[in-house]
Amino acid sequence: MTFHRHRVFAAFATGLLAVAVLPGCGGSDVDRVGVSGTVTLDGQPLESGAILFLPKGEGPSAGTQIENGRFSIARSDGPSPGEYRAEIRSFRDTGEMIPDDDFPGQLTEVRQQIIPARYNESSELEVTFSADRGQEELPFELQSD
Amino acid sequence: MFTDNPKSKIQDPRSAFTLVELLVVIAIIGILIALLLPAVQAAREAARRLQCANNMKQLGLAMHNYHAAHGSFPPGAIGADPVTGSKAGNIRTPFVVFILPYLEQTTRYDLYDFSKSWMSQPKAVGEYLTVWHCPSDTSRRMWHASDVFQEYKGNYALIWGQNTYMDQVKRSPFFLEYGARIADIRDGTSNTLAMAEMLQSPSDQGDPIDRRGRIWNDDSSCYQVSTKLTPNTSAPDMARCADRPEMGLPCTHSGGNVHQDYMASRSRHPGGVQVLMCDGSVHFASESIQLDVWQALSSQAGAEPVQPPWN
Repeated sequence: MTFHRHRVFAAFATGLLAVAVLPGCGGSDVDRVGVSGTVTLDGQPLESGAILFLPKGEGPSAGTQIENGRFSIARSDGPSPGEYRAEIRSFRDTGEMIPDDDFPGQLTEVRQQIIPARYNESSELEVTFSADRGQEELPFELQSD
Repeated sequence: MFTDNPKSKIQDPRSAFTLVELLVVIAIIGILIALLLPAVQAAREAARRLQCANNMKQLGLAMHNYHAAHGSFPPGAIGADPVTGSKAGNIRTPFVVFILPYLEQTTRYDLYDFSKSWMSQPKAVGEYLTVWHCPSDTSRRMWHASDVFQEYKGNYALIWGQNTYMDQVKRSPFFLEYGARIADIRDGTSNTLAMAEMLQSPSDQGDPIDRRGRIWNDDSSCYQVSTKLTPNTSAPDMARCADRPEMGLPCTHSGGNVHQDYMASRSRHPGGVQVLMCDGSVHFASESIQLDVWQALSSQAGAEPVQPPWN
């Protein structure tokens, strides 16, 4: 009697566990690659900034912050395999003070873009991501005007 | 009584649970709850998303009612020069004000003085507008040093071209001093985006100024979403802002630059954002949407041969 009840119990528990494990996890509906790398301006690591990857053909956009010359995008947020254009921007305080539109009556410091337009607005930086390489490692060496 | 029936002690028909059985039962209940909890959370988020979509529908209706009365959609903003972006000395009016009468907010609209900029009339602007808040996100205030403002942010942004605040590349239905006529939307109203979701960034007392989500401020990266970046991207916005990637709000602080600033559409819904088309319909745009499709949808007369992915 007790033995039988144990068997029923064991079967029930196993069944429930199977139900718990079965539902799989949904994946992203596009193929993506992870990407990381370094950014230097005139040989010096770029302290802060943003890097964007914009597809020339199909694919989602991707991008992240640059910190101390390095950036890294996880595969879940990365670009798709294919041709991309990279855009790099970085801002620096100038010390010039102007009236603050967000805080009427106060002053705010002007910030300035320090990366030439050929690396962002009219970017010549081109990258091709391939599906077979898991994580791309890209070096960007920028020169100021 | 006990001595009356000594047999009952020996042949008890009831049998007790063993410790193992009890533990198994508890484990099973635990598994069941663990299974159920995400489902319950997903159902709650689905309800919030529906409410969120309903708000967008209301805004779409209001825009169409405005169009019926004025012959065009409300302007994206009034007071900044559409060529230079200069606002110096101008009277500045944000989009939200124009649409108030069509959202049953006539009292607030009557309070608004069109001979002054928005920031000079703290009593008329900044009030909480329920229809502008998506329940999936947290409602936030923009803190002002003077503390005479009660400026609430919002979750619904205008579609503002494919690049920066001043450079839309291909015209979208809203720009400085411009709201499209339906006749201008030659790509078709069901193929052209009008609004998309944005997130309300924290900008409380002590926080750095973060413009994202400010519906009462006409400045760059406040309520203007660009299709430069796909929705919910890990790529940072360009704005006067604080970088908060852990909250889904990555940003590069530009100091507020009309020629550089752009903001991506973002939401708290898993997998994408909700968008309002110019025909008043609301759809869910996946965060893995192709960038070229997303950009084509933001132009009103780009003549791109694309169909919205939800059609």
